[in-house]
Amino acid sequence: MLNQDHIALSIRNLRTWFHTDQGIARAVDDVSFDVPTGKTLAVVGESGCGKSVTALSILRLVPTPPGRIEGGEILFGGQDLLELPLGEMRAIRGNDISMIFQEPMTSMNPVFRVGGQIMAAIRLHRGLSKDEARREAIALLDRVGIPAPELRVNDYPHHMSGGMLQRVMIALALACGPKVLIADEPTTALDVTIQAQILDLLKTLQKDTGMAIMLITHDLGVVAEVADEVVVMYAGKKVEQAPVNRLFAAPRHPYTQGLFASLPATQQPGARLHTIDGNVPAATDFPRGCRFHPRCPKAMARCRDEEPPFRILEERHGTACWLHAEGGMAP
Amino acid sequence: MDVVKQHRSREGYWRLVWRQFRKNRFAMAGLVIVLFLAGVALLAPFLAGDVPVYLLKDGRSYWFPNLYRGYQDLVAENLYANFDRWSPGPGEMAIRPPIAYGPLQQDILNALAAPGAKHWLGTDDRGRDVLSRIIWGTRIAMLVGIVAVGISAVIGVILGALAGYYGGWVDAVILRFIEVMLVLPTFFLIITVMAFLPPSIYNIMAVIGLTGWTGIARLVRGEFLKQRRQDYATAARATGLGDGRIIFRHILPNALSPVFVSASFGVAGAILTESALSFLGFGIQPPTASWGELLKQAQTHVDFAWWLVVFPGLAIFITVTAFNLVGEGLRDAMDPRLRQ
Amino acid sequence: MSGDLLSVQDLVMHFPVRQGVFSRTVGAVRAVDGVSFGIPAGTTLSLVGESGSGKTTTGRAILRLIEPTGGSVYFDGVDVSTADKAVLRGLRKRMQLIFQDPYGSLNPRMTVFSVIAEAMAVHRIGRRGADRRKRVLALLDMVGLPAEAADRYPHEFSGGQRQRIGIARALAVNPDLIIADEPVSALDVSIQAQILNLLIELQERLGLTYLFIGHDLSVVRHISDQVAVIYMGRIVEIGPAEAVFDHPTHPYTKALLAAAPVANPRARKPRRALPGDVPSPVNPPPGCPFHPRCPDATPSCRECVPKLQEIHNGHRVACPVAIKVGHHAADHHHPGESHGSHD
Repeated sequence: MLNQDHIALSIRNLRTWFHTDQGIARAVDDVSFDVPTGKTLAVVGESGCGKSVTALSILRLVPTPPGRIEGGEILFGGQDLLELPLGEMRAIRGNDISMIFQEPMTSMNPVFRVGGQIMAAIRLHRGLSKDEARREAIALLDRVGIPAPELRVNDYPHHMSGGMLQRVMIALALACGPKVLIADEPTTALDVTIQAQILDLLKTLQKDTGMAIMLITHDLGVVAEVADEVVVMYAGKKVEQAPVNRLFAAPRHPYTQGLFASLPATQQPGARLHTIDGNVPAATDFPRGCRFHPRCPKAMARCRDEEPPFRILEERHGTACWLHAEGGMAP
Repeated sequence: MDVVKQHRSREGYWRLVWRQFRKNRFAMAGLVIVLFLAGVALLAPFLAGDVPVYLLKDGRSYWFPNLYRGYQDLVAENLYANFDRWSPGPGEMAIRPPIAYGPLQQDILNALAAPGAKHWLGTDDRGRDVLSRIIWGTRIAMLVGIVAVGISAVIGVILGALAGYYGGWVDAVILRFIEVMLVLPTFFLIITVMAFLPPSIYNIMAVIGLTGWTGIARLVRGEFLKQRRQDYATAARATGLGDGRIIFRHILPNALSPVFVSASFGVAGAILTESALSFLGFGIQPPTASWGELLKQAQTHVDFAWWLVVFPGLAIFITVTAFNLVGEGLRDAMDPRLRQ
Repeated sequence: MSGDLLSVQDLVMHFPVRQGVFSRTVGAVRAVDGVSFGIPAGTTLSLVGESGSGKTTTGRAILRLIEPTGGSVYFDGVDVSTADKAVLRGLRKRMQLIFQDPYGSLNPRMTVFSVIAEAMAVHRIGRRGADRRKRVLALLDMVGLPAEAADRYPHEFSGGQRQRIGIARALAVNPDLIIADEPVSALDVSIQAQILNLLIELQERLGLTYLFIGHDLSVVRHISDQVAVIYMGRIVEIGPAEAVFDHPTHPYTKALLAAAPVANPRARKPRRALPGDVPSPVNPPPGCPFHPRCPDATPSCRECVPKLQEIHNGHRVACPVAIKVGHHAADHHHPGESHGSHD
């Protein structure tokens, strides 16, 4: 366990469910982890594993209905964000905790100039004058590596490429010096050369500001590039957590192992890739017991009926799997 | 929302729409009314009329003379036109509709009777039963609404599909044509055309249908523009399918939802137009009962015979509202953003 | 390139940019600007590039889903680009397309059976309904779907399963060539591996030829015999997959490989991230289209568009600067062999 001072954000037993016509979708079910100050925590998993819902739950942006945060705590600066009145929550959004999304094109309002949108955020949270806000906006654009920021501040979103816009989104997120930046697949919509630019930018900014980054991604390559700590999610559950080197060197959960093995880069060209059989189950229809057991090559009788608890195996490396439950400690 | 997208339900599209539609209480009320009106229109001969449903006369049974007008015995006696004056003698029997007055059946002695036990909604200046006329008017209204919109939909879907699918000059020509139609004030165009045509219900339906297709055409064109770029349409082309098959079998089913919405509003509009035409005397000719015609008859007596105005007016109002509610409900139910 | 099943020569696809009331043509988007390559039967060539590079357009122009502005496409010796409607219909039976988006590429109102059987009906494969049904079930089995799938609708399937349906549809007409346009880009890692395996297996079993369009280098490396790297509508490097990946020569290929994240945190390295964005294809920079972003650009790069030159058995690069440097290090790159001709 890390010292409390080093934890920027702590998620405790979060449960976010969706009440749909097809039944209850337990999108996030009893998930806990800490985001350390000045570090990058990556939450990795396939579509439908609940990683994005976790991120939205932190800012209480889950669409309600059908979604509802059913329980748990989100501790930030000694407060439980889930208990805050909505007005105080709004003051935290974009100020102490900000978020960037996958699609920069649709995250910006197309009818306003990008500078204006940054200025509005600055003035809302920091109460600066119009001129000060403009200067600050130009400085921010400069900081995220936009050439000729004093000109680009007057651009409309459609004047910019996807990579540029993602930089603007990052500038917008940084406007108020957040302590935590939640980045939900920030490079998925971008080309690899642009992705490399954005990942480098995030690393540099983190070094300068000391903010914590919670990176949501499906790309293990991106995780390897930027993460310090990794949480692997499957079907609404945290199945494994470890420092990045340890996870990549010795994954313990069969799901994590399967993910690594199915990467084409780890195999001989043309050879059969390792696969995980079957498909990700629908969120309304998660299996009993361990949610991975129908696809798990190492499933045992016990996995079918009992949900495995999360157990720490060695320093900061834990997993929720019956194979490893005996030797581990409760977190 | 990756979670929501994950749902793999076994339901077809229309079941999904129906489930959404059912949640909307106003739309359901509208649908119940529409179904009720359709029932009234279909069953008009059993609800109101002087011709019996079943007749036992001279030891012979006649089934449904209200539907079948060819019983030779009855024709010989000229009974069909005179059932109102006929009453069963001993050993004879007649089962009549609950409102035992025909829409054309005059009763001068009872002219302009206020609503009461005998004539529930009163009578007009010739003593015709208002309720019976409203019931038979429902037939006209529904027929005009549905046939006119059917004509509009066929024209609109075909032209919209061609414009959207082929684009280029085909699109340009059809769009200009639509714009010309839009510039003309439809109602006055209809009045002008009706002034030259013999006033019959068929001409009304045709004229309303032939002028009302532009909205549907534009909706379908828009959908086609969107859908033809979808990969499934490209896949169909790559497979080597002909244009006709791609347009009608692949794209059209995916482009039809807005047509249904538009059509339900269209039925309401057509009913209003027919009423207005009849009211102005260009439409259904007396003595045939249509709601607009009823209102027209009421003009002369509007100062005291309120029932002549209120009840046909209510019928129009309720019908138009019901179709509009159904249209709005459909639109909401088909909106993919609301689907969860 | 006589032994090639598909041979593309100087393919050009310009989209006019129209403006004003009279739709005057004011310029052109040079989506594809002189692309040539050949694919021997039974092998896989991958087109790799970033969004807007023209790789998807190339695929569609080969099938004449869009009419190319110039160049020619030979399929099994027949010129596709001038084929009339009847010939084209026959050719489409032999060339099929697999799409990226497993959600948009299947008609949501048609059952899986009708999606697959329709292609057979059009090309008169299987006379009677019973024959077709049998064949559809065999195809489903071939792509790893149960027979029950036939009577269901696309929305009942997951992304990976839909991609299998799309593959079955493509296989329904017994094609020789499959153009696979980013077929695994929209899929999760574990599902991506399943589909890649399926594609490789089908190639072995049916002798298929693939034109694989992709952007993920590790996927491309896994599946390809030949790789062509495309930038702003031009091939900048092409060659056998090992040559291109092990000895990348064009600065853009090098940058692409360097930018791709590697799933190994211990291999984290300080990178020279490629600066800037892809320029607009309406006003491409003069000379080599890559020179504004190129770390090795010289003044001569602005002057003329470099041609592909062979540096080694089938490995061709459109960068005189890199080739010159490569000459000095040639022994290291391709030990024991002389260079190909510089024609």
